[in-house]
Amino acid sequence: MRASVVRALLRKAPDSSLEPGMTQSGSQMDEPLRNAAGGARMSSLFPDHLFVSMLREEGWLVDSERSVRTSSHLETGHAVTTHIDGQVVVRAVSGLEIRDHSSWIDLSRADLESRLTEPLQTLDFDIIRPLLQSHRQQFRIRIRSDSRLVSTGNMARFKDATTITVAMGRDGQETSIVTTPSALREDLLRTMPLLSRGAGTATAPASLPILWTNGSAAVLMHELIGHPAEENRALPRLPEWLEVRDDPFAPGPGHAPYDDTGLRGRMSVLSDGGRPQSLRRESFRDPPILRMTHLAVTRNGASLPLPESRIEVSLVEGGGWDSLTDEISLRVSSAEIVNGSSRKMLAPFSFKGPRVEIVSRIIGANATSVRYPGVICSRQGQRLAVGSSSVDLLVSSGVQ
Amino acid sequence: MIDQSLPQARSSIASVQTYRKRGTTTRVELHNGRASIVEIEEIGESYDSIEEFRSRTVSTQSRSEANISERTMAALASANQFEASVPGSLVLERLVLLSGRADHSIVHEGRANEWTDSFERLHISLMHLDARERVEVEVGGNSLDRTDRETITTIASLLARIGREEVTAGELNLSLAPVVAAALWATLTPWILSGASKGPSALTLDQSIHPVLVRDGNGLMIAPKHLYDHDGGTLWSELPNVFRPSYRTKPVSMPFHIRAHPIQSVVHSHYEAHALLQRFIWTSEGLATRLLCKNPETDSVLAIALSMDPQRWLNSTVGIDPEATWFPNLAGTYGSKTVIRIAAGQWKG
Repeated sequence: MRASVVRALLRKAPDSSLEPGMTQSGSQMDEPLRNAAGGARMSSLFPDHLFVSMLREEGWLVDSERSVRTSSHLETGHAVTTHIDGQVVVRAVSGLEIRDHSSWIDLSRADLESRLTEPLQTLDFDIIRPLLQSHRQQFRIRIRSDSRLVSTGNMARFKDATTITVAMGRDGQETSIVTTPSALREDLLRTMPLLSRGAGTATAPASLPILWTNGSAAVLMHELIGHPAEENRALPRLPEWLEVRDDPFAPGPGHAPYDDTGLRGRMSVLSDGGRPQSLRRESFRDPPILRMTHLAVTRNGASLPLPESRIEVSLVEGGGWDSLTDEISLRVSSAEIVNGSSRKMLAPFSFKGPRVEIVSRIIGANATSVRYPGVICSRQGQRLAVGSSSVDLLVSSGVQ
Repeated sequence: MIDQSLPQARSSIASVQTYRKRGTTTRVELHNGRASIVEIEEIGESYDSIEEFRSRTVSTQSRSEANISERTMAALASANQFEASVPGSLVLERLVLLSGRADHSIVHEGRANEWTDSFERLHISLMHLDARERVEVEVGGNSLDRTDRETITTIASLLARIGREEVTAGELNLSLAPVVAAALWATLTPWILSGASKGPSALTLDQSIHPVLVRDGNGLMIAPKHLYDHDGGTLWSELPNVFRPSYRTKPVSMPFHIRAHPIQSVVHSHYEAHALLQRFIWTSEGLATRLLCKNPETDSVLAIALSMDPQRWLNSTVGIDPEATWFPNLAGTYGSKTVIRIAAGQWKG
């Protein structure tokens, strides 16, 4: 008979109640909790807490002459998160009418609203417009700016984050980047030539090795190592010179010195079998779950000489890991075939295969780490920005 | 250079409208052996004009006490039933049960309208690790009933027995269970509405009505509307209703309660398809899927892969049972036991 987690909740639920400051787990803030098996934080052991969020999201159509706002969303909400028998219970309400407000927060409601509103950012067209002058195309830009408060009744922490997604389509293909206000100019300068030149028509030959450049190897490792680590899956044997970390202290998308349950962030070395340690949530309507924050790929040791003929990947449109088949797939949107000094754009292609096999084909790395304009990652129905940085990574042949 | 028609969703809205929704929802989630309950009380508003779609939350106060609500207890009991129906040999990868009620009000084209609806839906993902097969199913509507439980129980028991069988390639008569037929119509309808379909076909698809879910996203009553027959199909621009799954999303034109007309058939089926092992996907050859099938003569269970041009999917329909079940695909799709005839070379076991 299947062991029922729901039955346990049914048994316990009628007696459950929550008062500010009470923590059924007994955990202490800033003291990450670990299970006996692998040292990973268990999601049932974060403190019971109040989560408050304010979000402003806008969609824009922008070209070199005009900008048109097509959508806007303003959202405030709060949720009390507690546990029953080790399972998570979230009670979420729109707005800031918080039950037992003064038990959770020292600020008045007006001050709380002001404190949450103050960090919200808008799109800086002074940065964007000059960059668009030479690109006679239309960009879809979405800015998502939110500020959050986590309170246990004893301790409260504010944090905020703003991400900007820039997308451009050509020939039926759309490519996008995810960045922050401080990196917007640099990322647009780096990627607009890639975004605007469109895809090539040449087919990627399966016989050539692939060099993942521009930090795109972080997306590859996001699927190969990151998601399986979130699910506590066994780690394939990686080259000893390769290190993959989840680093919540790295700047950019995913930056989270404290997670969405108020616990202090912890860097985790995924290439040593660690799991991401941060509990994150998309909105006040969602339960916190273990998610990556910023995936950093670095190398120790000497660079590998590059093969004369290779494929160079610079942008990845999306990808996924299938937990059933243990296979990954990536959709490469910008890549070139390189032969000596000659370069030719390739048509978008898929890169896929069994995780263990792809890991075994990682044969070298050749540069210092480059920040990839991050990714929006969806899991269990929650879409979150994850930062990415990586060295260039060489993978032997295998385009499918 | 600004062309708003490209990124905007299709919408029939011509004037400014104001919409408000008050929702009370319980979401029970199971994922790899861990559970969470989310109770949400939310009010939201949207204002839609040709230029811009705006939405915002409205403050509300929690109406429930600190203890878990009766709605949540009922949702837990229902989730418990579904969880218990899954054989121990399968992995319950994910279960999400949504239960709630929403009060809507709208001012649209100068007229005010108010209505209320309830919903209860289930998404479940089951895996057979040894066979490396997964089934994802969504059932429910305004409530979860005995038919929904039977659908999940049948699929789970068949997936637990999946194996291999020598099959003879040739013409195949395949009987689609209602959940599979509904997924097929939900996949083909957007293609039909794009104007790509051509006759002739014995199939007729309509927007139909639901006994409880009677209003669209603007609060207008949903009336039957022809979608497809042997003379061709309706276009997106001709749809009278809009779908509004949330106050946060711009409403889009959508056919409601898609339903195929019955086709009397006495065709003997070689296999019964009870679930999708792979969702319908568009490929260079057309529309492809893999189905969880049972051989009614041997009682064996196997996977059958099919790939056909979309017009051929429509033309291959040779039988449709009059009794239909509603599924939450798109803005609602009815599925009936449906028999399709597939030529050799377009399927493999």
